[in-house]
Amino acid sequence: MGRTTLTCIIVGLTLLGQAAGARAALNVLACEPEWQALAQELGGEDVDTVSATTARQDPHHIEARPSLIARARTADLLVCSGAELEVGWLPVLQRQSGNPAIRAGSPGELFAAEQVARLEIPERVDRADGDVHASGNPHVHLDPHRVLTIADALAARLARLDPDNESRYQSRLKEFRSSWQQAIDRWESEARALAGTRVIVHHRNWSYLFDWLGIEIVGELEPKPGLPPTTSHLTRLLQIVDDEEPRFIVHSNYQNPRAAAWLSERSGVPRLELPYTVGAYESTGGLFALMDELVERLTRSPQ
Amino acid sequence: MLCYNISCSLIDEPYTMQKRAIALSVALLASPSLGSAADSSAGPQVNLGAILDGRYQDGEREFSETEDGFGLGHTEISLDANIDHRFRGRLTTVLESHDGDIELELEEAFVETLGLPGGLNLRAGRMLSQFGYLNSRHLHEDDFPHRPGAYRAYLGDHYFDDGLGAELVLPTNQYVKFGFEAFDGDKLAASSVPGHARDTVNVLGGQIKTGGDINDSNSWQLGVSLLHNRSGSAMASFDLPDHDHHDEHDEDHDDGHDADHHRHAGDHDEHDDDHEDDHGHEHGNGNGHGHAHGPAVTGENLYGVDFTWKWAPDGNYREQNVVFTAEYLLLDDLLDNTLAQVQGAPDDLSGWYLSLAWQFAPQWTAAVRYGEAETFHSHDVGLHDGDLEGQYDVDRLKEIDLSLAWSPSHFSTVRAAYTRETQRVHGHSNDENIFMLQYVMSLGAHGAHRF
Repeated sequence: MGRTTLTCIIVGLTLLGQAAGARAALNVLACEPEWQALAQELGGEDVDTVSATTARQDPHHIEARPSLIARARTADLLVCSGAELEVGWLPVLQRQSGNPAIRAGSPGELFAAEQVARLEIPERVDRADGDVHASGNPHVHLDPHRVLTIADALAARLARLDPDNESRYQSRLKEFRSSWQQAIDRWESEARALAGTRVIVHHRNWSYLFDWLGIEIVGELEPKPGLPPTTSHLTRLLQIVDDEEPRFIVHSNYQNPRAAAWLSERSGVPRLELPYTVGAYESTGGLFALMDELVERLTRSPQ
Repeated sequence: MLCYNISCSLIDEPYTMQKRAIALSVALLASPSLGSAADSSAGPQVNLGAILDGRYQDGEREFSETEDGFGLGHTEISLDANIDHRFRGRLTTVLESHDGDIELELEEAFVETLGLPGGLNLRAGRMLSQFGYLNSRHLHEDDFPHRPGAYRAYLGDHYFDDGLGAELVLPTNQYVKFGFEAFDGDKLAASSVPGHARDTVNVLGGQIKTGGDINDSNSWQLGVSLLHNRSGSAMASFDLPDHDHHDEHDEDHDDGHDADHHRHAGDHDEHDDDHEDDHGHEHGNGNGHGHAHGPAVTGENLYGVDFTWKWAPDGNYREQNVVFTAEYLLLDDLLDNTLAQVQGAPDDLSGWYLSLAWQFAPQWTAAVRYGEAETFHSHDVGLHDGDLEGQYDVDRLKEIDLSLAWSPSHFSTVRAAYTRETQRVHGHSNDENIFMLQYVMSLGAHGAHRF
């Protein structure tokens, strides 16, 4: 081997090493796009974020595929919903990646649902009741007040893992809190008229949103949480429509709209598709835009 | 989700359920739910699961242990928990019933490290080999009630053993995983290789896996695997006469016939009476219709290549998805230098399968699989008046499987399956049609969504 080749290799390796060393940013692997968006708000240029799922995927039905294991291998922090939403695949990622930084119970693991009070914690957990999460409903990102609490926890965690940049995380948190709070005031005033509205939902992923807005859920298209709608169950819902007079039938962008359309057609109650998370539509590129779109769609819908 | 409760607890830690480990028993599994909220004092968090697998089969299958009529498949009880911040452990016991006897088998009993630096995982104990795509999976995870013929013939459904395993995932954007394992290997040793001739560590394995996403909808994985089996080649029980000298080997005549049985390789000794083959000229893999745990044929090296491709619209597996898997297995060095001189002695054997499963609605999956597997058998191989006589014939098993499964939830599956099996022996074919109804149900722990 010539001396030049050797020198080239040494220089190359040194540069590679420096490149790796210069990468000060924390690698954040979010399980869902909403947590990627929040980590980006709080981490700015100090973090590299990636989401394991997109807004068009049911986050419960994901597989620990090779690309996700590779991402988990180099992650410094996992930000996930928790409350068993990712139970089928996240533990596999944590184990198979062999990455001690994000192993179960380590500081490199943050569950959003654990930071807030959860709705729908079941009295008893029996699988005959369907896909019931023992820790309660995991879809916490649609209540903006809870998002504030989660933001506090996430900023603190980022600072713990990257203490050199603590002040930057804190100042971004402060900025986020203030604009998010302003936005909450705006959304709440725009959506005031929605309080007391009754709706039928496809799945319980709207509980936090509707709890916040005072919207009452009077029926679900799924006969049991997580089970696909059946004709017999939908037929029973027709009776509920007569009794409760819901204003619309809500399903998310990633759920099959057939059942909602079926019921809408027979009951005359309009169907309303809502974006479940960041990235569902081009118009919902961030957390603010997502909530804007949700409030807009709910208030614009036929009265 | 998770969510059952067996005697105590509600689970308020993610991904685990709190259980009094000591309370584990089958009876407990069957007890009604007595759950009370937030009993977090229940002790360490242990994932407890049981798999109930029952079936009705019409027809008999080569290299398979399931019998005609009603029967139970793999009834499994598993425990899985973090032991502490350094170790995780898993215990899987399998109960099988054959002719009224209940057999208890330990399929997994291993500890593995958590959080070693450098992406390294170490395992020790009894574990499934990571060979190929299917071997490290539990049988109940498959889309078919049986493993493909190549797995049944070369690995005895799935190979698990006592030993050590190591895995390393590279810190690269492209997923690359290296696996290495060392096993006791008695289960894979050719039965003609006597215990004293075997190494302490008989089987060494290695794998490289890589994979990635083409886009949101398409993902793939490719793997190459090797199992090096130091006692896999069948051994002649006699020495070939040295033609330069007069010798007395003729008296070894009886002995020579022992070689006829070498293909019972992996059979457990205690089952030998089920299918001891007194007629060397008959189908050498005579265990085919009996109760077989081990492989039907063994060799020094088993090579495997596996490819998996999965598709789901936008990567949303909930509504529909397609899984395509192809594997090719090659077994070589089947016979020692003496037996390799027998007429018709094969150099190697190969098996492969292609499988396509389409979950066309949230609760419905249709699957089709085609596979072939070569085995071989002997005719009167032995020393006759000082000459090596007899011959080997290669058999070819061809199977087409169809399956339709209904899964009302993550935890239950009811499946109807049909297999058309063609076994070519002595140049003519035997056809068998096998129908099967099966249920696979899971109590307790939420299964892992592996790729």
